[in-house]
Amino acid sequence: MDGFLREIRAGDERSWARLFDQLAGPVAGYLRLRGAAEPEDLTSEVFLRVARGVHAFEGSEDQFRSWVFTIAHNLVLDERRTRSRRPVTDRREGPNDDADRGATRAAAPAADIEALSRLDQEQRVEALVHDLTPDQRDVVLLRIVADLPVQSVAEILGKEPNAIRQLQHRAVEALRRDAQRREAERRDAPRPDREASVDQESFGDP
Amino acid sequence: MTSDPTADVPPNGVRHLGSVSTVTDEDIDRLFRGETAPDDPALGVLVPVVGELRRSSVPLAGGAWLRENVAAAAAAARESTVVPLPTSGRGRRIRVGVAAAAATVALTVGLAAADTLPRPVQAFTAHAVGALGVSLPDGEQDQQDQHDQQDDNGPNGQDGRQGGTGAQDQHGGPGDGAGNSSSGGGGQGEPGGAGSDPARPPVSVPVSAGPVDGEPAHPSTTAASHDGDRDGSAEGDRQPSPTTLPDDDASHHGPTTVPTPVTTVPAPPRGDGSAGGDTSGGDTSGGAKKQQEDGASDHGGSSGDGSGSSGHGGGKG
Repeated sequence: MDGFLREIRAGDERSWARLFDQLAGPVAGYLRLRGAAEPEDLTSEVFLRVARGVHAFEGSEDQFRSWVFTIAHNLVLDERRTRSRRPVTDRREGPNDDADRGATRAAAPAADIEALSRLDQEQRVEALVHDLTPDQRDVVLLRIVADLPVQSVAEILGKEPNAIRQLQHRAVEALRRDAQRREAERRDAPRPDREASVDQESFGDP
Repeated sequence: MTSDPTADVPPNGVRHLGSVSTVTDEDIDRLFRGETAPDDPALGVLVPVVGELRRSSVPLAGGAWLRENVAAAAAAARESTVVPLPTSGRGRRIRVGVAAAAATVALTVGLAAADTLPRPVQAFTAHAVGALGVSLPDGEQDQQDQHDQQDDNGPNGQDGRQGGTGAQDQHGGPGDGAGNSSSGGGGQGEPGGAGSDPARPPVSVPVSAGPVDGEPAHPSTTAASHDGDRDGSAEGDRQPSPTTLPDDDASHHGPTTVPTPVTTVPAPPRGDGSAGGDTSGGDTSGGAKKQQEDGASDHGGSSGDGSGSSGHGGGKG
């Protein structure tokens, strides 16, 4: 870690590419699922702040990862606070989203199909954590998406590790209850034309 | 969403998948790491959920975004060398405030230690710092000292000095006020001589007045003067010697000068030296002979000139 950190501090582009490869995806996913309006821009901002502050960082690799997600967490909180002050129309909550998406899908070139499927995936994942409380969502996302241990999550959220464990227990319970509900809905209203896997049936379009 | 375990029972009678209360922290850790088997009775139903969440962390941006951001971050890292952590304006203000307060306290305590503050401030500071176990002059003592000094320099002291330097002394006249004549013994003239001990340091006690010609000391005078009247030397020896003044008095009034009490009587034209005996022992160099010798040149009030003071005794003697 020391050598890698030294190269990061020196601005070695290969090391930075490696760092992006390891962390950009989780950071962007975390920001997206935390409701960032522009997760990619915010991810760029996170890494810029990492670059500016890496000279003052001291710690292990796990601590470095935790530090990066601390920056991401604070940035998304700032963005949410800023958005709450000025009304902004959320593109994913617009009344004509479905119609727009259908029109876009019809006119989209093949290259954009992947992006659209990603959008569907985002919405599916958002639906998964939609019913969680904000604290439970923070814990689940930091534990699963950011792949951080309980201790690091506790530090980022400013809570005790026991509180984090309790929150994740409740989040698991809520997720499981939601999965049961989905399974019940699937059984009550099975679609014969749908031969998807259990996963797709359980977590399909809401 | 509620954490109530009873809410775990589905309302529509769907198969119950197990109780979460039996799930341990290790089970949850395995689930979050994607290591739980899909057929796990308690958490297997959540394996697809976790898998979906983990897949959401895959970067969505293309290569161009990545290249641009890598280059920008690397450049930012190169440009941002080790810099001190930025201090917020609030933190700076707090630091300045604390430093100013500390400087004010230090300055106040320093001035208080030098006893140069106005009396109320001095008293307050001395009281406040005294609570911390540090003793500072509180101004009251200074005020008292000033009063004492004024007393010394006031009518009494002046009288004593005047008496000492007065014509009576200069003429070797019978005791003047200067005398510590208290040695009243000297006043009587007789034992005074005996009482005079050459080995004893001469002590000059400024006294304003005293009984004339060996008359019994004024009732207001102390036992020393009375004793001096009876037996100047003997009693004087028994009386505390004026040379045993406290150091602080000595520092204020000179090593051999005894402060004159406030209640003194104006110096009569003639005194026997018993005047002022109220404050001095009769054993002072009130020896009659010596007093006579020094009487003419005595400036009784002057400190350290015990012989001068005793001059009165000599006057009578």
